[in-house]
Amino acid sequence: MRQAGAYSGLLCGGVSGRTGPHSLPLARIKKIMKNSGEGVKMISGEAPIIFSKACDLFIEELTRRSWIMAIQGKRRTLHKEDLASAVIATDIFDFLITLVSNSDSHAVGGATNVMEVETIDYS
Amino acid sequence: MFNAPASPCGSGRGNHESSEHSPRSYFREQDCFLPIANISCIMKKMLPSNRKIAKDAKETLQECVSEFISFVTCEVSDKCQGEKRKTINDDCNRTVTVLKKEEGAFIMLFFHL
Repeated sequence: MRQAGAYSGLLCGGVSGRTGPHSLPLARIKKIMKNSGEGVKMISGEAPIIFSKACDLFIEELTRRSWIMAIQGKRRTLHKEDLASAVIATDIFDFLITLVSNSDSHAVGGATNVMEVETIDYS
Repeated sequence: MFNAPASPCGSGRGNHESSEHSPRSYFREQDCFLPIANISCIMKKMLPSNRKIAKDAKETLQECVSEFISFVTCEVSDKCQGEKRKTINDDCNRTVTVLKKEEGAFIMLFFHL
């Protein structure tokens, strides 16, 4: 009987039953990379794989920091304002400030000290 | 940095009156972003099971991820042009961006920028 392959999805199915080990679609990542600027001409096969993992970590970290903001606001639901507060409170997410500022017509409230966020124990 | 398409519903067929718009410039709006279901699934992994995520939070994070990809790609592309290289490859990505996890924290360091 034919054995399941390493990438068949039975052994290592990704998110929502996707085949292969990558949780994010590589073709879509490559398309976003191509649309990001005129200077982007050729992209090797390994680059979207690295970006897939990078985006995975990025989503995890931004969600974690946003959740801390939601807890501080004594809420059980994660809202856009929590994401905005997390972006404002974290130095490495400075490149997103204009994006969250544009999406919020009103001023973002509840932005806490950076030190409060940075010294959270993640265990 | 990441510009949304002027006409997201354009199919690429017809309407070639303007010479500045090539057929390649027509793409669907959903092609700008990663699938919201995948992003939602990664988000849910990070939260306790009884917690909820608002739709606007998912959509905002979807935009943030695309901005992240565009931002890093532009930085890598600039470095490639400086080195007279045409291909964004594995080595170039590694020299510009170091992504690692230390004690649960996401650390992003840009070198040579």
